[in-house]
Amino acid sequence: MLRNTVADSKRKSYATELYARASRVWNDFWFQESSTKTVSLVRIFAGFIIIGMGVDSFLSLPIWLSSTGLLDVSLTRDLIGVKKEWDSIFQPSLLYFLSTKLSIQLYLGLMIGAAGLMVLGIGSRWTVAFVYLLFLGICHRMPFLIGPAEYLMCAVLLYLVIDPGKMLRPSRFGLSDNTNRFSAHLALRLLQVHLWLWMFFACLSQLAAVIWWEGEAAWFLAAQHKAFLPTALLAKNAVLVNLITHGLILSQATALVCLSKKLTRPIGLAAAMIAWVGIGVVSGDIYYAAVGIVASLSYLDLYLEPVVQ
Amino acid sequence: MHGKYRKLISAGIGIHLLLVGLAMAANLAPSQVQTAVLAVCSPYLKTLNLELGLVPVELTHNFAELEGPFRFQVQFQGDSADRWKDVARIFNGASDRMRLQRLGREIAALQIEERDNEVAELFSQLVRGIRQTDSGKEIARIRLQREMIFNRTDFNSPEYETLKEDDKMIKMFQAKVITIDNETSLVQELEDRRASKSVLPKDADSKKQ
Repeated sequence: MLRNTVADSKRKSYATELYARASRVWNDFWFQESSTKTVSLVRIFAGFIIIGMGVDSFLSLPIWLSSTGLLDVSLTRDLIGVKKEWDSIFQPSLLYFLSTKLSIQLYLGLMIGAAGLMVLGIGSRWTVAFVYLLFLGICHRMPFLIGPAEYLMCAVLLYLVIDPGKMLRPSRFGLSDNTNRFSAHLALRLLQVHLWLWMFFACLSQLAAVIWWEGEAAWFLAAQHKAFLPTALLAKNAVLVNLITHGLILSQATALVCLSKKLTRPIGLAAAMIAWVGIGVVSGDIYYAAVGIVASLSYLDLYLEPVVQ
Repeated sequence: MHGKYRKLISAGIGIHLLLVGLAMAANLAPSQVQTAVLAVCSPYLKTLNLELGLVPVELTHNFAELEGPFRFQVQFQGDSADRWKDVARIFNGASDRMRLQRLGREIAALQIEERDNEVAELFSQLVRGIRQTDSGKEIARIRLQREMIFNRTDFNSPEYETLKEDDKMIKMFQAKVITIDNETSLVQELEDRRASKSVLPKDADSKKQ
């Protein structure tokens, strides 16, 4: 009887201790104040990428989306499996209602302009939310023609809405203005965890294929004309192909491990940068690499105060 | 921060990241359970564009049927029968080339699912889109080919050098373009979905004709 009571009380104290410690770790992780400098940096570069994407699509997107273009509304709905008007409520886009070349270009112009304001930090989170909505509109209008870059950019913008940092000032790009905010910390943490999950699952998916283990993935991407690598050079050089392929996996794995701890974070950040540049080179998707690098900047807590574990 | 808000925010963070993790885990080969849970959560994930679908975050599996590279080509009126122009050269933007590859992937997936009407409709609209680029000529034929990917050993072999451009292609779709009163229709040519290099001996081909 007495033994049972002691065991019960031990179990209870273990559960209480576990709950208390888990709560403390959770609160330390999510609920602190951080400097707005890092989110500002992420916002500025994300804005530049949106401008780049918008300018790149300015002339060509109407050819795809206008009423006389490649993907009229009814065909798009057929392709994405939307049978009823009501279904599309979850993939809303103003572009479904814009059918002329001019109106689509105005839409893109608006997005580019708003992204410019976002870079400057004018309008704070409202501008970021507006850019996010316009960018989401493009993604929802042609979901099967967008790639990983757009998906990752949507996540970056979503978290920047929580806290986009401070307005850009002439002195030191406004990054000297040190303000600590709870929302800045939350936005950074969400972006960090999201990026970590992304890299983790991307790395796992790569390792599900034999060619990544065989070290031949870089060759196949080059042979598919995706990589910014000379096919002729890779064809003759097995060691180089293997090194690039294994190096890409190794840099991603190193980033995943090292980004998790404060002490090893600089190594993790360097590995993540190498991984994203490598991904850009072998996949040929510059935007994907650029968004990955910008999202990785969320780990750049040089300015973060207090020090985050 | 007040404890009540902290609990609410914590619940929000937990649910959000759980769904994000689920969407990512279901990217490559979702299980039935993942598919069912995603279907329930798709209003949230789709609205925020967090549901990845089959976006190739793995970059390559060397699954050539879906990875390509795909080559959309057109033949203009008056051009000789063996002269084709890559649509990628007609479009200008860097994103367009990537979009064309993704469109090729979509068409390959539609062909696997035998959704032939949608494939034909896509090509009709592609013809309309190309006309907008002011190429100046009327399109006579359109086709989609998938380039064969050789492993390095085969690529370096002397036999590879002897292969013609057409021998490295698999024809996925080919059609004549007929325009009457601004209405475009496509008449599919018989050779589609078959390797352009005939698998039959030459005399068998001539007997068939």
